Amino acid sequence: MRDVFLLGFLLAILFLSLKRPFLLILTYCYVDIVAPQRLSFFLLNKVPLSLIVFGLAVVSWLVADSKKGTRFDHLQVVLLALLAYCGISTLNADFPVEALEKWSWVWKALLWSMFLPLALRTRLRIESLALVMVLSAGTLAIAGGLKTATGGSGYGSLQLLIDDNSGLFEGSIFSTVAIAIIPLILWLARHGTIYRTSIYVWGFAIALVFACLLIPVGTQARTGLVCAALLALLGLRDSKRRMAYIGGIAAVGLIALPLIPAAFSARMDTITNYQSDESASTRVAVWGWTWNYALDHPMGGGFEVYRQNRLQVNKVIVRNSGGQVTREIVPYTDRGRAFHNSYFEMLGEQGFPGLIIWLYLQTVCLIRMEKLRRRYRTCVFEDEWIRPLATALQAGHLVYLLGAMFVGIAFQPFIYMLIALQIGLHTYVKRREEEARWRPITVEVGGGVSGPDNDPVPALPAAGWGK
Amino acid sequence: MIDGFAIVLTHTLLLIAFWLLRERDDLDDEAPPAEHHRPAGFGWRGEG
Repeated sequence: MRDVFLLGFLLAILFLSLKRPFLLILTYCYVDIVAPQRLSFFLLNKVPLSLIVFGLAVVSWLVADSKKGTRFDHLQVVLLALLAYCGISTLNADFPVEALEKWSWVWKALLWSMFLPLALRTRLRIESLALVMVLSAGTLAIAGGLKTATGGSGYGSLQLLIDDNSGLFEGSIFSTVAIAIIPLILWLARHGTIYRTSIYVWGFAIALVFACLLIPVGTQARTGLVCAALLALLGLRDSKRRMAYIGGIAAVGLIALPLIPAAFSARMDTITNYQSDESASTRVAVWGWTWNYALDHPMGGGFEVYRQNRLQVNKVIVRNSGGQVTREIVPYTDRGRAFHNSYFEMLGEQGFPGLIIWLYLQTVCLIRMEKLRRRYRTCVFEDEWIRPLATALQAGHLVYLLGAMFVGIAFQPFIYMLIALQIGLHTYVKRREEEARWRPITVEVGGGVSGPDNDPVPALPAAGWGK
Repeated sequence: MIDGFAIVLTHTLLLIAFWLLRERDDLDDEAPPAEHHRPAGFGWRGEG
């Protein structure tokens, strides 16, 4: 039944895409996030769906979509440099076979994020990409949230649609992504034009936010809790009534506390008592190993380089018997431990050059969104969506960068779509301002649409692009 | 059951969104920027 439904859905959206080639681009984003071929049991899983839709989207854009307003951005060159560097490191990888396997999806994620901004040349396209990303990730969030609410969760046991712990379906990774999309959900509910703001839209948005917040509870991923705390903190920036905001957060926390399973509380306790947690102890050890490896191999060892690590770890066991606390150090060896940190993932796999390129990409995105936030602090009605979107994207990106401290998601395709969205927003706003600046004088005079004396709202963003 | 509900709900919303987008001309072409976007320059009063 699920197979037939998903096949029918795909055929329907492919049919709708005949009129608007851009919809094929959205279709690929959906396929990349939800992976219907992985949810399928016998129909879609037989065809290379992702590759087919990828090809269709790019070819239809090249052949049938207008390029009016398309702009190239220097961050796309940065992405190209990262792609090329990863390609070279794959050729020289310490584990060529395993590296090739990771490369098989990384190149697509990077290429797609380079391509996407070229197509994001109208406001509606930017909004539609945000909507498709949110609803696609929402499929996993609603399933996970409902299972958590009905008690079917636990560390490593919350099944997000399929029994597969890879990609977006992995608990810690999806915890980060679920929290990262919350600002985008709220932006869509408030400024969306596809689903315009209404009581139903807000009802769905709030339910979806709640489902996203339940994901860290359901997966018992500590990463998600830390990310949620950061998001709550970021909300303070634009809150007009800060005390009410803090009070609201505290009230939600107090209400939620008794509802949280004991297993979740026990696991969250290990955030502060990390030495007694095996997972946390080995992470610190693998980060040390990676640093030393990078000093010996500054150009990186290629994808999956962590497989060669051998770690001597001391686990501290704290016992409390009759009020007397004893600490016992138990040494053990761990092998082939994954990075559990995107920064070290980049450092170990792509070396210092790869890490620098990657950090540059993240930093420029954050700075640009901050510039947009400040530039559009005061603006006219029709531009009122820009600042909140920049804020939402920046908050989502910051959540990702914090989550990346605990999970190896340096090449997570969803995040590269978020980056593409930021590049798209930046080039769109910049182009629109340039267009206004270069409008032919004949149109202004002859058309009678403007004039210095009848301009109703000359509220121009204050600072220049280079300022 | 839960998975089925999540899939049907979000995919229905996606399908409606695709349908609505198909009917929107501003998906491919936008009206030119409004006058007030224009920075100060020749024959222009400026930001006031």
